[in-house]
Amino acid sequence: MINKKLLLAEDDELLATLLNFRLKKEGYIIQLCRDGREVKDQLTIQIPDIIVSDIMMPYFSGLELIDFVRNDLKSDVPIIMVSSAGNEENVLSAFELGANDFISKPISPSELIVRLNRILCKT
Amino acid sequence: MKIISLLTELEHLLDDLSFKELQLSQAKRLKKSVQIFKCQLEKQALDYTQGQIQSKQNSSAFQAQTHETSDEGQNTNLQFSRLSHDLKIPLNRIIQFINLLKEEELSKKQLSKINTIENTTQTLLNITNEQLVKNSRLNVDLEINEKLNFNLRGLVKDVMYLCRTLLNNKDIHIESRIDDKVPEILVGDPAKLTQVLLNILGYAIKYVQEGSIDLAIYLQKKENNNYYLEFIIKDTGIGLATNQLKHIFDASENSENNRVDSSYDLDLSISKQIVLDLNGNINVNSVLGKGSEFQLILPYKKSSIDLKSKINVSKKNESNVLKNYSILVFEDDELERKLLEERLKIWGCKFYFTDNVVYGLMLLESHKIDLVLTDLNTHNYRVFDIAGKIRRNKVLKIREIPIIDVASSLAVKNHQIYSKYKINDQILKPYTAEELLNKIIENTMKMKKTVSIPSKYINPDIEIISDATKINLSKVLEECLGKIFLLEELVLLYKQNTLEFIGVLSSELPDGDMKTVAFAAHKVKFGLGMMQSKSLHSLVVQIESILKADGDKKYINFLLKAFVEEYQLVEKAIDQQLNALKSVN
Repeated sequence: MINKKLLLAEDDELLATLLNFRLKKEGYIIQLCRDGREVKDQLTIQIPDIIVSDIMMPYFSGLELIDFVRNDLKSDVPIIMVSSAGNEENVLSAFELGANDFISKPISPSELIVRLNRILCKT
Repeated sequence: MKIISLLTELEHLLDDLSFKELQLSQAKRLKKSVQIFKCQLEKQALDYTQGQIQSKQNSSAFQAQTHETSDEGQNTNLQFSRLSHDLKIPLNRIIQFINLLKEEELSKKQLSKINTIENTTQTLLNITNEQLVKNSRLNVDLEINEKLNFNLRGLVKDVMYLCRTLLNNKDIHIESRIDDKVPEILVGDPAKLTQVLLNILGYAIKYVQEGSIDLAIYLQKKENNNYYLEFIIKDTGIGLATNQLKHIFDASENSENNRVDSSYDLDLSISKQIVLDLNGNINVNSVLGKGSEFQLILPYKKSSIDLKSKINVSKKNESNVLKNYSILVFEDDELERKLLEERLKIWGCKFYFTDNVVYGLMLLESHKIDLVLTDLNTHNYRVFDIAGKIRRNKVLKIREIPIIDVASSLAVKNHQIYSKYKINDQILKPYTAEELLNKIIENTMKMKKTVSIPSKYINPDIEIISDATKINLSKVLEECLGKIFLLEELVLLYKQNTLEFIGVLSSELPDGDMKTVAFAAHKVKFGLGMMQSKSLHSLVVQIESILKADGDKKYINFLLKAFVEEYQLVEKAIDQQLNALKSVN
C-alpha cells in the first residue's frame, strides 16, 4: 500500500468522484477540496505528500495555489496541475511557478496514477 | 526535395519575424499554417518515395514484362499530380494569410520580411502549378460537353497565370486582351476551353525562345443569343513549313517527323477534337522562322446572369460591403475558418460557423440567413446532405436560400449532382477575396429572381441526426474498474452538472455576468467529454468561442436551446446504456 496523503483540489464533482475512487484504490489517503479557499485552509493545517490541482478553480486559482505553497509555505511538495486543452499559456506559468507536472483534460485516471507514482518514486 | 528545402527556408524566415510587433495571433496562425503544411508535405513526399521504391521492387520482380515500366511511369505521374494538387491549397492559404497580414499596418522591416516570405511561397506555388498544368491536360472528360455559366475574363486570367509559370525564365512577353464586346459571363464548357487554351499556349511556349506570345479574344459575330468568339494566339517562335503545317493536328504524322515533342502534338490533336466537338473551328497560319498564329472560333451563349447589377468594389471600399448580410458557413477546417472569418469581418457581414448539419439547420430556422457557404473537406455527400435538407425544408424562405459550395477540385461531373441538389454555385479553391465577394453578391441578387421550389420537394419528416445514438459508456465503466455503482453515481453527477449549466446560462444570459457563463461553460465540458456527448460538447465549445468574440447573446441563447433539445436525447440514450450495462454486469 502507498499510504501517501494526496490533496485533490477539483471543483468538478464528476471528476473528483472518479479520481477519489481510483486513487483510494491505489492506496492514497485523499483530502478532497472543492475550491481554492478549502485548499488554502487545508494546507495551513497540514501539508500532504502530493497535490493534484485543477488550474481553474473558484476563489483561488491553481496558479495562486502553487505560488502560495512555494513562497508562503516554503514547501517542496510535488504539485501536478490539471489543465484543459488550449490552456497552454497557463501551463507554462504553472511550470515557472514551480509545478512538477501537468496533465490535460480529459483526464485518464490511469495516466494520472502513473504520473503520481513516478513523481513519488523520484522524491 | 527542392520544395522541402525552400520550405525550411520559409520557416526560418517566419521565425525571424518580429512577433512582438506583429499582431501575435496572426503571426502565430501564419506560422502554424506553414508548419502544418510542411508536415503534410513531408508525409506526402515520404509516401511518394515509398510508393516509388515499391513499384521499382515490383518491376524488378517482373522484368520480363516490358509493359510494367510504362505502368510505373503512369502511376508516378498520377501520384505526382495528386501531390501537386494537395500542395496547392495550403500554399494558397499561406499566401492569403500573408495578404491579410499586409493589410495591417506594418513597419518597413516587417513588410520586407513578409515580401520575402511571399516570394518564397510564390516560387513553391509555381513549381506546384507546373505539375498541375501537365495534369489538367489529362483530366478533362472528353465525352460530356457542359453548359455552365463561367467568367471568361477570370478563366483567361488563370490560364495566363499558369502559362507564366511555364516560362522557366525564358525572355518571353506573354499577354492577353479581350474585346469589350465579349460578354462577361458565358454559357459553355469552361474546363474544355481551359484545356484547349493551355494546349495551344503550351505549344507556343515550347517553341518560342524569345519574343512574345499574345492571346486576343474578339466577338466574331452574334446570332440571336449565340456569340461566336474568335481566339487568336500569336507567337514569335520558329514557325512551321507548309508541309508541316498540313499535319500539325495529326499526332502520328508529326512524331514521324521527329521535329517536335510528341506529347505536345498529341495535345494539339486533342485540342482539335475538342474544338470540333464544341461545334467550333481551329486553323493555323505559320511562316517558317517568323512564328505561328492559331485561330479558334468557338460558339457560346451569353449568360442570363446580369453582371451590370453587380456591385463593383475597389479594394479600398471593400470594408462593410456586405453590411446587412448574414452568412452561414459549414466549415470543418480550423484554418480555413479563421481565414474566412477575417474576410467576412472585413466585409462587415454577420456570420455563423458550424460543421454540424443539425445546428446549421436550426440556425437557418431561427435566424435570417441570406446565403449558405459549404466548405467541407471530408466528404462531398455531407454537402449534398446539407443541400438536400435545406431544399426540402418546410419553410419556403429556407428552401430558397442560395448555396455556394467551396470546392477543392473542379470535378466536372459534380455539376450534375449540383443541379440535382440545387446548389446554386461553386467556387474553386484557391479563390481570391474578390471572386468570393462577387459570388456572394451575384448569388444573393439572383435569389430574388428565382422561382419558388415546388412543394413536392417538401419532406415533412426532416430527420435530425444526433450523436445520442453513438454514446457508449463501456469505456467509462472500464475507468470505474467495472463498478456499476460508481458509473451510476457518475451518471447522476453528470446529469446534475449539465442541468446546473443549463440553469446558470438561462438565469445569467438575460442580463447577468458573462464571466459566470464562461466559467460554467468551461466547467461543464469535462463531464460532457467523459460521457462521450460530443454533440453537446461541440455546442459548448461554440458558446465559448462566441463569448470570446462578441458575446452575441441571441446566438448563445439559440445554441442553449439547441443544447437543451439535444440533452434530452442524450439523457435518454445514457439511461438506456446504463440499464443495458446493468443487466449484463
